[in-house]
Amino acid sequence: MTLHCDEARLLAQAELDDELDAGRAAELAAHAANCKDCAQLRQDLSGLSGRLRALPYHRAPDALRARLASNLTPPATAPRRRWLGTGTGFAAGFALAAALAAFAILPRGAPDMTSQLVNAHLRSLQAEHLVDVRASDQHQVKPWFTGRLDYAPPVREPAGYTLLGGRLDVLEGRPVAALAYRSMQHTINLYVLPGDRGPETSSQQSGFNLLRWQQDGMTLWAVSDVSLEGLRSFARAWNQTP
Amino acid sequence: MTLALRQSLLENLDAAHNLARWLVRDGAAAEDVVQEAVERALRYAASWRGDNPRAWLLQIVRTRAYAWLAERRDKAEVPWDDIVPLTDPAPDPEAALSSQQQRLGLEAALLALPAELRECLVLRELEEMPYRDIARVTGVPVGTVMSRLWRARRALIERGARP
Repeated sequence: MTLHCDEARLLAQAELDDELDAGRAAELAAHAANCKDCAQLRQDLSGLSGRLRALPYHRAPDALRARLASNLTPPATAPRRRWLGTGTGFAAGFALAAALAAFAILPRGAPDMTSQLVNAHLRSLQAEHLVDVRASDQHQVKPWFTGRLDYAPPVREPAGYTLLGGRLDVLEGRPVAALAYRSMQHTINLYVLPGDRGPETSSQQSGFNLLRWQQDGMTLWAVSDVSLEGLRSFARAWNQTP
Repeated sequence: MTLALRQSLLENLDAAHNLARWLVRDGAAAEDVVQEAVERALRYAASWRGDNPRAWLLQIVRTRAYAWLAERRDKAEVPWDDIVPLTDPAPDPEAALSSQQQRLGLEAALLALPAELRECLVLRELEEMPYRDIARVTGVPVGTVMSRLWRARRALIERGARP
């Protein structure tokens, strides 16, 4: 079916706005190859876009920012987030803020890793904040971590487990990658940290099971209410997934 | 929740001010609009669904900006065209090609567009928002966003092509 110019115009605009799927883009290209007007329109649209983007961007003036900062700066009880770079996206800010808020109510003295992991797991379930980036497949989740962490966590979807998505969490005072999986009715949080921490170990706290193992220079920490045997199966499946 | 919200409001102050400034076309008024919008955002923090804080804040900024415009329109009807002359910068075609003048011409033309069209272009071209987010900020369906963008662009292209 051939494309009419009326429709081609809207497609040309959608193409410019990065809202056109590959199939429609091909239709448009075929049409524009034989239609001078629509080819010209594509050029005009792109030229206009370039000129619009060169127009002034009105950043918030410093005086306004300063006035609002007192409204917007949280009380200085939480640790300073010095490592929160300006490039860190909202989702990271959200995860970190949530994590820091939880830290603020923890007793003084650093809690051990098991407690931190169980707390992080609980937080993810209670706050309806399981994922910052939803997964339709793992190829969306892995790039999301780029620029948010100083290491590249492996992201896999082992057979039999559904990858729900990824988020940032804070453990031992640093941001780490957390991957959320569903298996039957259970949620498994997998924390991926750089570096080796020794051979496989397991522990239990507040009814949750934790399993730690390592692979390819990464430490993996699974936390869930599934049985320890269930976590071991998960770990095996994870290790075997390319 | 408020901690996360405050953090993201701070991150989106530039976007809030840019939209306000392009909508109300006045520096001092834009600052007032942003300040009011942020205060409202904090007051109504409970209505934030936890996703896309930028679209949520810009939606409030937009509402405040339109309220400001409506209030002013009641007091004195001053069409923008009377404030900034939209005549071509120079009769001499070579001079008209000077990029500075072209830029000023385009800025004036964008400022002269109806607010409903202007905001779509600002959100799309300067904020690089997807259609879905623009629809959320402006409170109209995606199809309407597309048609407004099309009308705005056609107006600007035609204006640029005029001899």
